[in-house]
Amino acid sequence: MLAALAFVAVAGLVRLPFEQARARELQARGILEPPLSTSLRDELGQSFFMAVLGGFRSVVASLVELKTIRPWQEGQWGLVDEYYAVCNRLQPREWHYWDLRAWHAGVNAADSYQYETAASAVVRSMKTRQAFAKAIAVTEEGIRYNPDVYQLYERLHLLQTHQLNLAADYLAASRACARGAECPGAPSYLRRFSAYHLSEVPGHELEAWRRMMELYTSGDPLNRAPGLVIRLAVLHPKVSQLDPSALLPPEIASQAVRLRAAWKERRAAAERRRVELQSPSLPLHRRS
Amino acid sequence: MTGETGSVPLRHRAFSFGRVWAIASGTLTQLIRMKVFAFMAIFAVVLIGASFAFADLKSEQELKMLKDVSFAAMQLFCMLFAVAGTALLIPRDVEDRTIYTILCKPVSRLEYLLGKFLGMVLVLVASLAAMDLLFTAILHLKQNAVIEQNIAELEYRRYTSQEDREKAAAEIVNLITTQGVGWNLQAGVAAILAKSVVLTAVTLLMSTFATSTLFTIMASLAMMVIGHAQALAREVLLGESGGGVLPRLVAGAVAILFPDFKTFDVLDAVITGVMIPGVEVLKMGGLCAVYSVIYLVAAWILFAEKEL
Repeated sequence: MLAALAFVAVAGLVRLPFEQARARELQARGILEPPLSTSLRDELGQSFFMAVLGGFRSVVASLVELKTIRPWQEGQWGLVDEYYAVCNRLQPREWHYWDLRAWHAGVNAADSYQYETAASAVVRSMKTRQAFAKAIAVTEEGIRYNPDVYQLYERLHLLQTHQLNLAADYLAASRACARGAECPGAPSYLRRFSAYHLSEVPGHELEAWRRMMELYTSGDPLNRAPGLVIRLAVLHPKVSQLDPSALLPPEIASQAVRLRAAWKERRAAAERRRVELQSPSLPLHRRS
Repeated sequence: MTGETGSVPLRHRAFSFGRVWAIASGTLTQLIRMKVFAFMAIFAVVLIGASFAFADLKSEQELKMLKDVSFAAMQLFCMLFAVAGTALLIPRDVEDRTIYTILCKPVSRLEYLLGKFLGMVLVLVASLAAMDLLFTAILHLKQNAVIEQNIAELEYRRYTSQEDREKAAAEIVNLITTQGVGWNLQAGVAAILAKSVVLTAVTLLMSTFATSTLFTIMASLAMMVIGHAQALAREVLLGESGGGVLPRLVAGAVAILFPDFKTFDVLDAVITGVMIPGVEVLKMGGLCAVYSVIYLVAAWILFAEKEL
């Protein structure tokens, strides 16, 4: 018995440094998850924690995610966030947990706050601000773990420019889209959206114009989308004052007046909607 | 002249792979007769149930859930099978007195142990291959269904040209196939096999000195769980965070005596779509061989002295 024990122990001593080096290398490459924190035991419960210790981390994360359905239906956003936080700790490299957590914490929570009849307008707007701040922080944390996932940058720009977000940040949204566009498999619209958001930031119109013109003349038919064409027409009067050499392509110039009028109408409607949503004197369900 | 003529007997070799193979094939037959493959029916039910259970989720979630449940079921079945099947091997041979019939022949105890181990590994390979086949087929069907459903939803959108529509469809196919069937999933299956093989060797070691099958099963399952916490033990032992002498001693014992099952835990990465390079799969195979040799040699040391 002692001989067998001694053999296993000696072999264990020999393999220990190799195992440690391999574990660190695989963790650094994102193949192995980091060791579990023992504080997770309280959050998961004994049986789930044992299952995670037994190598069933992924399925436990999925089961915890399923537990979010009921609090989500009941609008218990704190509990939804708590469950998703556990999923994030179990599988930080699974981007959709970050994405869904941010969507629930920001958009869904903020939207449901608009229907809270008991809360005053001040409290509702405070909770809405907090919801978006939280969601943006969650997405940014997710990006730290998954820097090459364009979906998270997409979520970030949607949160930063959402109509309920009282502190919309178009410059940050533009940067998020630009970073997302560099990720593998990213759709081409992220590059366009980056320029669109930049055009909303005072002082960055000329840069936005140049980027949009670059896209427009790239030859890709998707980069001649109506959204881009209308923005070029709208930006041109301001941009031409900054850079007299900035010229509208003739096919856009011929319909620029009509496009600007359509844009003005669209923006006015959007602004009315934003004002209604952001400074509610009555909860949403009682507004006309 | 050969031994077959009966005139000159064959020289007895200390180790013969032929004898190991004979015991392995006997073990395979023994396990098949124990109707161990019946669990495949449960696996099929779990898998088919899982493929319908998460239909209301987003497509990435739906496929992830299916992979999660399938891989968890594969791992659970294989590991329980490795523990329970191996724990029964030696006691059953003692009970049936087969072990005496084998060992009174010119068969060494090492050959006997290796034969039992190899037989168990063959059963694990066969059952895992069957589960993998079923899983791949169901995931493939599910993946196609999800793609069709997503493409059908495209019909309600407006496109400037047919080319745009095709581009959007290709994007959907690309997005969903990264979560669907692929060679990378086989790295996960290989990891489950490697883990189960190591667990078989550990259980065989336990059964050489255990006094009951129940003890072997419980001790092996405990080793499995503790083996997954090896990384924590190493952090306590080698980390700079300090800690008392006693925790370090316990952590040291765990790190040295137990196999690191966590090193095979690439399933999370496989499920989330991280590519596992072929060289990592080979390294896993190498580690599995190293662990198996360590615990089989220890088992042989104990079994060689065991009074039967």
